Amino acid sequence: MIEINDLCVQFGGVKPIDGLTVTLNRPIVGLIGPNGAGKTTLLNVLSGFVEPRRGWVKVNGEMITGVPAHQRAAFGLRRTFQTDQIAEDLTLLENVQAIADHAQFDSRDAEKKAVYGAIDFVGLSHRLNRKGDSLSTEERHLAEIAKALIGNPKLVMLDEPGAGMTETESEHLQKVIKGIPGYCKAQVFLIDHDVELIAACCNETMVLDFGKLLALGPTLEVLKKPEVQQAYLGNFDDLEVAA
Amino acid sequence: MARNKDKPDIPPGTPFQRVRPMLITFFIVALIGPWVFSSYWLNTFSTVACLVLASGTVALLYGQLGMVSLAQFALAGVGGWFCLRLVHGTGMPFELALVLGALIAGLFGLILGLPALRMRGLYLALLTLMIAAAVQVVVNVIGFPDGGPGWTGKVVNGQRMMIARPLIAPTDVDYFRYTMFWLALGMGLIEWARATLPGRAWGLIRKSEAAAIAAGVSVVRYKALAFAMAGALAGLAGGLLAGLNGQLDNTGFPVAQSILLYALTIVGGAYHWMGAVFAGLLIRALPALLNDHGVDGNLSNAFYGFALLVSLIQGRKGLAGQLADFYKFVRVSRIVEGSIIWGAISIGLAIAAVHYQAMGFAGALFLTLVALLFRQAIPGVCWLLLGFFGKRVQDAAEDAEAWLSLRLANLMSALGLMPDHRIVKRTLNVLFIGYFVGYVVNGVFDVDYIVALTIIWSSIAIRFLIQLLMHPAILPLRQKIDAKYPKPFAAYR
Repeated sequence: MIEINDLCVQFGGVKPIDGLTVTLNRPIVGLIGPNGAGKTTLLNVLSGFVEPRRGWVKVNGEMITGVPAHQRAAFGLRRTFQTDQIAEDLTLLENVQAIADHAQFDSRDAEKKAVYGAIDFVGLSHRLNRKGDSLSTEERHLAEIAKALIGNPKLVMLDEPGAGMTETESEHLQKVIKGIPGYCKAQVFLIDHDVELIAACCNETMVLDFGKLLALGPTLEVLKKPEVQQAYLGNFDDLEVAA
Repeated sequence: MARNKDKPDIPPGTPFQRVRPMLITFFIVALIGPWVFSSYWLNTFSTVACLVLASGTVALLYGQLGMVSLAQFALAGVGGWFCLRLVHGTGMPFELALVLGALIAGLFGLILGLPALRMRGLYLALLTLMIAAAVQVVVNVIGFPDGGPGWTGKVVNGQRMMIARPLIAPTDVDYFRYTMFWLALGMGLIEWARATLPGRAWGLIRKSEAAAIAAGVSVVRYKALAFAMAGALAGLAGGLLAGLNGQLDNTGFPVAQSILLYALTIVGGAYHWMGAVFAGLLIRALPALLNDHGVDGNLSNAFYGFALLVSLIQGRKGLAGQLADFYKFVRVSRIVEGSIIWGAISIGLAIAAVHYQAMGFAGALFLTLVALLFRQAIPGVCWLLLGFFGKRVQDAAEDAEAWLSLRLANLMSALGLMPDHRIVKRTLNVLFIGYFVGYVVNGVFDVDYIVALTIIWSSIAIRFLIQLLMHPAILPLRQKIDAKYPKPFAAYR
């Protein structure tokens, strides 16, 4: 469960997030919004790269605002990045193992099981020893997800995992994302521009626009709201259409 | 969630498997080196081994973390200084002084690394350059210890003293092997770290510090580890240099040498242990070779500018990276076949050379093995040089070569022989290698040019003949082996 209370982020005169108060408690939560809505900033606040000017965030009832970024992984907050962070000259196994190196496990076996399990879960066990630079875009995004599943996370934040994927690839990604809550008991926080992916995966969706909450609720209801559609597509009345 | 889109995976490499080829190479060189080198060249190669270790530390910082340190050779000077001081001051065994000197240099490296935690790129390079310059100035003022009194241990007027060689390695031959042992240990340490937990953490940091932090990696700790390791091993190299001659020269660790070390590590390749070996050979062995042939060795520096340019154009992996990429596609059947054939040829030719009293057995054996090695290296070098003139020239040359080779290969297979699709390229290689290796060995091993050329060319020619004639017998065997072990080196880096 993510509780956000009166969150306010300011860079100079710009306020990417402006007084956001929301409680998200469904297993897979989607976040959409037009460019500049504050999606990635919210993710950066959650993972500790951006300090809020005001307000706080709690995850599963524990206060995380003020916890340094490098301690949040141990706390159970895992994230992926828009541009995948797979090191090119390490193998896929090493890339995932590198995350496990810095997580807590009961035993060596548990660590090994977690690493292989995560890779198998995202469907990449046939790529274990390929180097990062010989993986496709889809495989790199899936590997990013596998990295985020290491070490019993409480909250997995996915920043545009579906970017640049074809339709069949996106279908596999949907299955993976839907399986995460069952696989490691983590809540999933999914940001994407692909509304189809959001609709297929998320029980609940919130829409941001200019740092403010525009809508929150069951995904289909939210997507059907006229103000959401207008925020995404603009107002057709003002369009200057080319002759 | 298994998806069977692709073929099964290549086998993984354990850390030891990854370090093993390097250790075996160093072991072979240490074993047969003294057998074939004259004493002048043996000392040169002891120095080369020290430089390889120093270059390895540059590669560690640059290849693993993208950090440019121009002070590694200066740190070698620091290690050498403390090693000399400790031996002169306390009379402790050389090994102990060597290790202590390395640890002190590691401490220096760590202090040097502190600003690196916040600096990158050009600024870090400038900072380390200034530190290297500072070391040069300090060494110029206080000099290296040579048994004198006081804290600096410098003799003002009088006989300079030298430290004794270590007890277990009094002669040049022993000291060469002794240096190779420390080199294997130092490079082994670097390679082991790369293959295990620190290497993975460095990989994460190299890719993105934000991602590393998000994964809970302590960026500070692993950067500091890299700097301390690099400093200590550079200091070890300095101590070994001090032990080689018993003293160090005030002019021996200039700033320019640190920059050259960095530039040639890039040329050699910072992402593979062979890169450091190339760098060491280029810094010390090539000038020595030129001197041996009556050409001023400093001329090689002009060539290095060109080499650096080519490396920067051709990509970041350097000579070693290109060679390693090449080996990734090597198959087991070819290795087995090649080793058997080459073993037979080289032993046969060596016996023949001894019989006609042309040259020694070991020398001839070594020559044919060198010819084998260069047979693999030259395509990379040709490609590199061609690439310098642009893609169009390279493509045109490859098209012409492919056109001719294909027709020759068709002709060969029509005659019932083993077709060779790269016959033109190989022939050119053979001609080039013959002259090149012949020239080199003429200088290094005191062998007649003609004898060397005969041995190299006949070894290659015999190999070619054998390959041509054994076509029907070998093909099914090859396929059987390849099906069982696909691309064994694919997992190495």
